[in-house]
Amino acid sequence: MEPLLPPEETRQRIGAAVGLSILLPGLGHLLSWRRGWGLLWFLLCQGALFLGLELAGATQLDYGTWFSFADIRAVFLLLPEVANLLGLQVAAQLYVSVESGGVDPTRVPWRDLGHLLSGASGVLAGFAAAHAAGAVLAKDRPRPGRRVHPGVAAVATLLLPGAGHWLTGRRFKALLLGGTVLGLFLFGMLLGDFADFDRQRHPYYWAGQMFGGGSFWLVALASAGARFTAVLRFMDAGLLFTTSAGLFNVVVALDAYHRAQHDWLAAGPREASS
Amino acid sequence: MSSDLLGLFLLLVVFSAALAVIVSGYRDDDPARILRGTVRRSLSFLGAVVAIGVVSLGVSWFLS
Repeated sequence: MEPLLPPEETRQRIGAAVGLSILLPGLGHLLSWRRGWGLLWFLLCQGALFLGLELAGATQLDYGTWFSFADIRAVFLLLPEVANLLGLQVAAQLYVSVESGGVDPTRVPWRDLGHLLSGASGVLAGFAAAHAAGAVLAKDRPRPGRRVHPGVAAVATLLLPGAGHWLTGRRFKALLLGGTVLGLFLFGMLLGDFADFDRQRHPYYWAGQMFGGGSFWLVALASAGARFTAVLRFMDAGLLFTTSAGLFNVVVALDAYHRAQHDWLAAGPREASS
Repeated sequence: MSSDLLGLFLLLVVFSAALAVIVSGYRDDDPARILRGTVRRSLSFLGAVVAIGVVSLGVSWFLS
C-alpha cells in the first residue's frame, strides 16, 4: 500500500515549519498558530541549553568548532546542540569554557548533567520540528475525533522508543521496534560496564547515543559516575551498539511520523456541521 | 582466539537481527511481512559481513 502524502501546498508549509523550527525551536509552530506550543518548545530547548552550559561551566564548547568564511567566524558547530541553531550561536558568543581558564573539566561538579541537558536541547529542537510539521498538517487538513497527529507520534518515540507506534494502534511494531532499540542499548551498556555514555571519551558516539531520547538519558544520568577500570573484551562493540540504538530510534521516530501521517490523511476530511 | 571469534560472531548475530528489525519495521507495516523481512535481511547482512571477514582473513594470510 502506497503511503498517502499531503498536498503540495501543505508540504511546502511543512518544509517551512521544519526550517523555522531548526532556526529557532517554537518558531515553526507559529505557522499553524500554535503559540502556546511554540512558547513551550522555545523555553524547553533554550532552558535546557543555557542551564546545561551553566552547570557544566560551558565545557561543551570545547567539543565544538567554528565554521569560518574568509577568516570570519560564521557558524559554531557542536553535535547535537547545533539543531538548536540560533540558541547555540548566541551561547557560543556569550560563554567561554572554564577549561580555557585552567579549570580541570572533570572537577566541575554538575558537568555530566550539564552536558546531558545541552545535548538534549539539540535533540529536542529536532523533534520540535517534527511536532511543528504535524501541527501544520493538523491545521491544514483537520480530521474528526481524537486522532494522533504525526508530530505527537514522533515526540512520543523520543520519550520512549515504540511509544509513537503504540499511540497509533500499532502494538506489534511498538513492542518489536521499541524492544529492539532499548534492548540493543542496554546490551551495549552492559558490554561497556555502563561507562560508555561519556562525551569526554567519545564525543561523536555520544551525539548518536543522545538521539535515544528520554529513556537513554535516564540511564546516562544513573550511570554518570561510572568509569572504566580495565580494558573490557567487547567494550568497542558496546559503544557501537549504544550509538546504533540511538540512531535507530531516529528511524523508528520517522516511521511513527509517516504511519501517523498516513492514518491522518486516510481518515478523510472533517465534515462541516450542519 | 577462538572464543574471541565466537564472541564476535554472536555479537554480529545480535547486531544483524537488530538492524534487520529496524529496516523491516520501516519498510513494512504488516507484522507477517516484518517478520519475514527481518529473517531475510538479517541473514543477508550476516552473510555479507562474514564473507568480507573471510576474504580479509584470506588476503592477510596470503600477504603475511
